[in-house]
Amino acid sequence: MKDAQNKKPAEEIFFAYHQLRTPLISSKWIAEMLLKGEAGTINPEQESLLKDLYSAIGHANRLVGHLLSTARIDSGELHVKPESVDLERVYSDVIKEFQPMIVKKSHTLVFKKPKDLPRVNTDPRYLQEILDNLISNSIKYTPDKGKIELSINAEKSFFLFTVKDNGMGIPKAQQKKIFNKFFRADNAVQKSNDGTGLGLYIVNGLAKSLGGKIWFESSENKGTTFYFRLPIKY
Amino acid sequence: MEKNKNSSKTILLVEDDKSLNKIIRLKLENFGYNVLLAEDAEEALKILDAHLPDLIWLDIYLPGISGLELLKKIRQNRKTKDLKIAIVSVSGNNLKMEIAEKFSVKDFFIKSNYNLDELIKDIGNILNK
Repeated sequence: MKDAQNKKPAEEIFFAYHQLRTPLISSKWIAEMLLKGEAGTINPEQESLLKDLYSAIGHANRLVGHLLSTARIDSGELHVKPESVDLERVYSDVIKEFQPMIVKKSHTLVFKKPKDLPRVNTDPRYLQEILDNLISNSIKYTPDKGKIELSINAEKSFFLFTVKDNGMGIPKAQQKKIFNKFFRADNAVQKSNDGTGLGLYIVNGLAKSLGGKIWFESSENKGTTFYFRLPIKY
Repeated sequence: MEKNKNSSKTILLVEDDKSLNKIIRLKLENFGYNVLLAEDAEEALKILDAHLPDLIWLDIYLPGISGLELLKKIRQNRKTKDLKIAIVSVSGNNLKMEIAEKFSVKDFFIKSNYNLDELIKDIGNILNK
């Protein structure tokens, strides 16, 4: 591995996160192999401990990923690379990714879109990261058997994406802080301790970098709807 | 069955992290691939002098000569310029990916997005293209 000498501050941060990620990925893959019994049979107690380990590694991995995205946003190192993007494909990938979580929590997922969806000129990696964060939050902070509604509306010069849930909502007094770095609403902290407090900060930063805008409506214990407006052409 | 299907294919794995290269190699072999391992670019170039693999699994962050410099050398060499290459990196550094695209690499994989079985299956799809 290259040494960190003579690197600019932002590069040093990327380097440090890279260094952190490598052992995390290796730990994750080793835990996967052990859980599948590929290195010998494991007993139920070992399986339970390994699942806890796998979950902890997953959380650490997410945290490092979020810190890396935050460092890129803060240092202006996002380097948006627009291309013609098929939204059907993006949504298909995102829904496939979250299907196991949706099934596990017995949520109902509804996806509404126009019959003919035009392509969008944007950076697909960042669009996907925005949707990933919003949908993941909706699933996580909606009690079991909830309803998650995704929709896309194509207007003349922009798309409007919405992610709506009937979950715990965001307390009114804390709504102004929701896009702040490391901020987590009180009810979210009570519900789960594996959030990083960076997801919505990243979503907001990425949305701006794509020339878009993000906002929300929320009522505590009723649900939240996030809106994301994205120009058709970057 | 999958193992037999892959048994004639050789992958050059260029990965410096010992823990990662050990587990990736083990898994690739479980999938039936023949694996050549290089822990840095110089070792990879030596191997390429003697063997032409069906695909190079390239980590972009390497000690000494970087993954991108290695990629450039591979593309500049008449013998190796058309080899299939998959870049497998810990993070999606856009600038590095753009540079890699200039060297005709279209397959990028971010390690943290995958479990290892899925990653190997996707890389197998490149081999079958």
